[in-house]
Amino acid sequence: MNKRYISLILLSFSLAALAGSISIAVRNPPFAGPGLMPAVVSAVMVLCTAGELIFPVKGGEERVPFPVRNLLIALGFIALLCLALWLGLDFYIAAGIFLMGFMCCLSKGKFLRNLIVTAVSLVLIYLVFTLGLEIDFR
Amino acid sequence: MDYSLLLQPFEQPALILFLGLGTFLGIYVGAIPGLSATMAISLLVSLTFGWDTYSAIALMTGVFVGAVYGGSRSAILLNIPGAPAAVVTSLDGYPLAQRGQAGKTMFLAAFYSVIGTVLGALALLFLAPVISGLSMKFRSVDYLLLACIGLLTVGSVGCGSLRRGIFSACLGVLIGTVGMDALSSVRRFTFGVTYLNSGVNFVVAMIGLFGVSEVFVQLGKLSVTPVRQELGKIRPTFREFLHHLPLAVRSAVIGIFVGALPGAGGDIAALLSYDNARRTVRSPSAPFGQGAVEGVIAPETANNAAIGGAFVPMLTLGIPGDSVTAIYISALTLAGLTPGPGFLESAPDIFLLVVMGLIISAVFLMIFSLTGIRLFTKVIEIPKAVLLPLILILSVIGAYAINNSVTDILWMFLFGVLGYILKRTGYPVSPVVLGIVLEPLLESNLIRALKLNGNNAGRMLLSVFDSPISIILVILLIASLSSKSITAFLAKRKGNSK
Repeated sequence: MNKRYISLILLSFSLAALAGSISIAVRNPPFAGPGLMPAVVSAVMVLCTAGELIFPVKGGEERVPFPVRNLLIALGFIALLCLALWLGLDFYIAAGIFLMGFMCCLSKGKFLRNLIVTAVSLVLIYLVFTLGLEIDFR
Repeated sequence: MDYSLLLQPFEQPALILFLGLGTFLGIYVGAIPGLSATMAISLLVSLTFGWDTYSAIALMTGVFVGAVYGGSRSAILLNIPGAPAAVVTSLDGYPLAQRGQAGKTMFLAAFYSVIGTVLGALALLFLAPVISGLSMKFRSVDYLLLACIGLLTVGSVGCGSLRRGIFSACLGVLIGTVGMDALSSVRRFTFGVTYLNSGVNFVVAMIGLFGVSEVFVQLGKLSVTPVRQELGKIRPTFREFLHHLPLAVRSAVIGIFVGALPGAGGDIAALLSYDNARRTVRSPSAPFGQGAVEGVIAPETANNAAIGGAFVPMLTLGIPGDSVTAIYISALTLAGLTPGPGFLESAPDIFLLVVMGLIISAVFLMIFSLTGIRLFTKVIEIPKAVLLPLILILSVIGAYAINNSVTDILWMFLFGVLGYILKRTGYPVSPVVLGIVLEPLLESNLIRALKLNGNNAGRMLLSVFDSPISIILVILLIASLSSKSITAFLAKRKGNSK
């Protein structure tokens, strides 16, 4: 995406944050009140993004291809995992499906290796977190 | 004081066993993102309730020392700091691991953590009354300046632009203000979402911004062959050790002093020592932020030295130096002890047990930190198609373990997306996390400083010149802001003259 568009988006976000902070400060009168800190930092953000818009900096961004397919797969599996946990599915079943499915999609096959890694990982997670640290995944 | 009490762990071998066990557990707990020293010790308080006080303190001291070091392992290997104090370590530690130097970097982190811990313990033993007196001279405006220096330091490293760093730091502080204000109970930026009333959990944000975003970045590099790690020569030579010793001592002094400041722990100590290293090391092994070993040595020495420092105000004044020592106070209170003025005279055995416990834990840290280095470095060589789902599931567990809440997992992923966007657009992520961590310190001291000066911002700024401590901090702040421009100017001048 063009750097100017990014700077514009960030400037709009900073301005919205500044407006929100000022409205908090106005509704809660003391100067040294709850609106002060957000107002100060969002004002600095406005200055930084405005500076970025006028005098753009070269470089700094990640120079890797945008992995559309892999990102969609990852976000899909993450959404599935959150949904499964939210619906009350057992953590180990949800985590098993997540690990196995995600690994198979990324490595395009290698079913047996992924199955072994998933099983070993789940056993280790059970030993360390459920038995050792007593984290209740229910 | 009867200094022969320092030898009590040697008279009761069980205490040495607990110190060793605690250090071992601490290293591995600290290495898991989301599981911090604070969480481990708060668990131990309930577990050791009813134990003999000496054994409980020995176990907790060991876990404290181990966990502070342990946080650096995941920071170096996966770019996921195990604790806020290890955020700075990831700036240079991760690039070093990407160059095949993970083993050596982890060894250096362990080695200088040991030096930091021992120097911190010695400072606690000999300088406790002096340091606690000096730290009490810090005013609200000084804490404010301290937090600003920390944020500017990280803001100026890791990306080419100080402006972008400041933006990220401010974004972090803004995120930190989300939720109900502690002083006025006013809800800020909650948009009617109940979850946000209690604010954003910084551990959730940290795992998302570092861990999940890194997974998203790595999804674009699946075909890249993992870097083969060099494991043949991971120990530094005696010459290298001597070369870095002055930096380690300087960082330890910073760590001890910052640790002794109430409310300022290993995270700020690591930040300031990193800033000091950046300004004082003339020819680093690589540019800072791109894999300089000095960028690992300084924060790792300082965050462990801060442990000894944090005990100073806790034991001498009853004021916790950081979140872990705050839990220590409750553990000591449960045992019928009251840390504070007169504690060194009334309970010298406990004071000297803590000092000796830190030194023995440092010895165990040296031994145990050598274990698992080869195994841990192999993590980087695992195919990414296997490693990335595993990192995600560990991140899920780390976020879930905080409150046993699925909502935390969702927020962690949202922070992951934010981190990914920031990385792709060239904005650094570390200042965002530190902004969230430092927001309470910044805001409470800004409000207090303003109120002390009659709500007059001009008077507050002028009050800076009333104290030599504030003047020194202002000079450091200006140095942090201008060091990059001065270095660039000098380099340009040098280039022109050639």
